[in-house]
Parts: sequence; structure tokens; C-alpha cells
Amino acid sequence: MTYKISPDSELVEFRLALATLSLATYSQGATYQLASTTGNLSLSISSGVITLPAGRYMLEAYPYVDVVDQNDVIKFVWQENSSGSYVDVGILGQVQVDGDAIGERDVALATIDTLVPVDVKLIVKTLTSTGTPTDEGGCIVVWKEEAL
Amino acid sequence: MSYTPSRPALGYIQATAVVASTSDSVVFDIPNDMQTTDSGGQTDLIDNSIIVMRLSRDNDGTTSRSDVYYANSGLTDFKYRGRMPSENNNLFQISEDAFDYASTVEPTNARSAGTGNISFTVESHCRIWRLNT
Repeated sequence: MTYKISPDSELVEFRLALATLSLATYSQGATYQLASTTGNLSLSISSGVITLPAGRYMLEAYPYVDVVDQNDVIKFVWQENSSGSYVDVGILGQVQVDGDAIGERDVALATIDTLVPVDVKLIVKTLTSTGTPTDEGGCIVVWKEEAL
Repeated sequence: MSYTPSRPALGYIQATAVVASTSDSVVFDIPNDMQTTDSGGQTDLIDNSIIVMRLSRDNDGTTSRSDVYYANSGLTDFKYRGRMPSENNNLFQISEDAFDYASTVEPTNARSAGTGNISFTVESHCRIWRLNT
């Protein structure tokens, strides 16, 4: 999308990338894998880690999981590594099951505003289950704000 | 970035948690870095923006209260409103998004069903795309 509203305004463009999510085995701390990217924003991905060039981004993640039972608690979060170690960023997401402790929270959401390239990844933050939940895919959406 | 915008064009804001019977009481007063301000329950986005609002509720145990909401007052078109299901023994009870294109955000109850309060959480958020920075 491109708009210019006044002579003093900045001309802004939003670029967008979509990618599919997968996770071979659900475990706490596991990194989701990414594939099948599409859109007008190219992503550099290696083993589930996205290296974002300098810029401002908004990251959305929607993993789908088949839980073992209705007491499972599965939370996921974006992490960034700009100082040598990964730290959580943004809003924690949670898979929805019966009797959960959070409720109505599905998306992991974060903004990244960086002057240097930064690595980001989506991980399983918390996994409480009597077994191993089954991956059912999902997707991420990465937006980038750019000037023309 | 190769330019210095006066404010971010892309990001999200959040609402302070509140227990209330309808979404009218939800206030988006956590700007993060989006430079928004709240006054009397209405959040000023500074510029016109595409708004995608999703309200979040806690496991409040209120199984007979749901809420339908708009992102701003004065809206009537059903396709712009979101729905929060009751906290019930069902699966995937995720709220729907509400949409608007405006310079303000003011959660507005469109319809309610049932009785009791909803525990709205700080994860209630609006994703914002400013079209003028």
C-alpha cells in the first residue's frame, strides 16, 4: 500500500511476507521451522531463524496444534537476538484448549525496530502436557515499514 | 532505516486489564512505542490508520457472557465488528478481529449476551498501520 497525504508526510510502503510453520516434536524451548515463504518481502531464514535487516517490523505467529488433552498449556513467543542471546519480545500467544488459564489469546505479536540486522525466531515458551502434542502447521506474517 | 519518520507507521497498542460487563470499559492506554494517547477512553492514533482490534479475556469462569464489539463508536456495519465468545467448556474460543480505518480507537460494545463480567486482559491489542507518518 502506498499513500501520500500531505507535502510534509513521509511516503510509506508496507511489505509483507508469509511463511508456514512446522514443529517436528513439541517440546519446551523448541524453535518452529519456517517454509514456503511468499509475499513482497524476502526473508532470510536458516533453521527457523529469520535474520531481519535494519528496519521496523511487526511479527505475527499463528501456530496450530492438536493437543493431547484439554488440560494442555502451550504458549509460544517471539524472541530476538540483538545482544548475543535470545530474549522474549512482544505478546505471548497461547494455544486454545478447554479450561486454559489465559483464554482468547492466540497470536504471538512483536515489533522489531532495529538499526542493525537482528535474528528472530518463534519458540515454544511453555509446554504442559501429559504427552506430546501434534503439530498441525500454522503460519507467520511479517510486515515491514519502508520509505519509498 | 534510510529515513526518519516522525512516528512509527507499523505496530500495536495494548489495553490495561479490566473486569467489566462490556467492552465499553476497555481502554487502549498502553502505547508501546506508537506514541498514542488516551483521553476519556478514546485513544488518539494521531493519523488515520488501518485498525485491527482483538480483545482478550482471562479464564474468568463467566460461561454465560459474550460480547460483540466495534473498534470505534458510531459504527454499524456488521462486517467491521468482532466477537468475544463466553468462557465456556469449548475449544478454540478465540476472539474475532474488529476492523476500522480511523484516527482513534474506542472499543464500543455492539451487543452483549448473557450475564456477568468479563475479565479483559492486557493482551487485548490493536494492530495499527498508519498511512501518514
